[in-house]
Amino acid sequence: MTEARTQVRTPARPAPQPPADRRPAEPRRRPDPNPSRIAIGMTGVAVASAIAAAVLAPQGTAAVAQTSTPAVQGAAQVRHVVKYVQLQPGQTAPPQAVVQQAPAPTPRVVVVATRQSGLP
Amino acid sequence: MSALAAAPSSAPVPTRPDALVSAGARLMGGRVAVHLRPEAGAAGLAERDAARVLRRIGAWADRLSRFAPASDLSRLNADPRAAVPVRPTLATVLDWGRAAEAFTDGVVDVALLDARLAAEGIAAAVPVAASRTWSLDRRSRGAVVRRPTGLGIDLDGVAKGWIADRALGLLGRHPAAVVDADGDVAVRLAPGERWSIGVADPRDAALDVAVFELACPDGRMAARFGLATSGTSVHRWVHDGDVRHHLIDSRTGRPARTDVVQATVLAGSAREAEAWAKTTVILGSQEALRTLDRPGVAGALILTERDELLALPSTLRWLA
Repeated sequence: MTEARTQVRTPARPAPQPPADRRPAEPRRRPDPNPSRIAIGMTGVAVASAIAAAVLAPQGTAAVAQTSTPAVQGAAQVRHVVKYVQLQPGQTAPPQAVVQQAPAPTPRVVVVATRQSGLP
Repeated sequence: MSALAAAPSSAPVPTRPDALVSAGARLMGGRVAVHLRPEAGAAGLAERDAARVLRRIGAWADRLSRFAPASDLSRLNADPRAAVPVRPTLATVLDWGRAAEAFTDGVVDVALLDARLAAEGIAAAVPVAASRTWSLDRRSRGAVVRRPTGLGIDLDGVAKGWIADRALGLLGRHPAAVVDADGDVAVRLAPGERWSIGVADPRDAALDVAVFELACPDGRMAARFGLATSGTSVHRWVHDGDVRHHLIDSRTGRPARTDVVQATVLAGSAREAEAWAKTTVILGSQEALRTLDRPGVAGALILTERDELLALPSTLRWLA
């Protein structure tokens, strides 16, 4: 099995917004924390299409990240990509990642299995 | 497209007798099987139905195979005329091929026989030609196919799912029926029935990468499902030092360059699942996940060359 490489990209922070007028600035309100954390593999570029993926690792543990809520930027709707990756033994999940135990491989017990054509 | 039945509810599903009637045969270059769970006392009827449906599958396969010189498909491909009449079975499958081409935005394309043969080293390499257009003029029985002379039709990614669905339609009197057309699986379950379908692991013949639990809760109409798997790890070969496989990218006319080793799709019918599974392999994992996120695709599992198993989130509700 090839060794998985875990790429961790932290989300880009939004640019600070300029004040709306010249009145003395009011104390900044604490921005609402994004309830959904993105741990691994989030794209920082606004794209029109959305990708949602989950990895169910046949062996070992898998790091599971939560999706962000869609954000609207002008006319384009942005959905952040979340990718789940498989951790190899000895690796640790990035901070804020939710680690989910992957199911063990299932020995063939079912009567029917879908498969690539031509297999015996 | 056929509608997919509602996802299994959390209510317990009544158990049914485990009696199962199965019949199988070597057809279409692989293993074909019919599995029935009959009503009590109807096992004999189920055995006769299973055998009868297998014979029908064999007859359809004989008409649609490009490997049989006398098949309707081979005769079409060998016919030098620009307009060729074809019989109803082939006409219906070609009609489905056109529909699959439309909803996969051209990824599934039955007019790629020359490219397929070139990949197999049988014919000279052919570029993607602008004149791969063809038309199907349906008649009361059969159709007329109009295409440039020499344009060949290959029903890979189209025929087996169609055959599985068609065969399933002949088994309506049994509470549960499963037609396995060499890995493209059509399932119909009466209310209260459930069925487990494994997804073969291409890396180990004794294992499954996942098991789908399909069920029809009581009080609902019968549920229909289709599960199909496509991939590059079985039909692959080396030609001129180049590793090739059988899934042709219509955009290049060559075997798709993809990170997908195997893709399995759950949809409302086997033919839809087959078309989407093939599309997934050709597009590659990332583009496929974007493309599959649509109504009509209930779930998808993608095994990549990096040994990642990716899934649409909607898949999780169907897995054991």
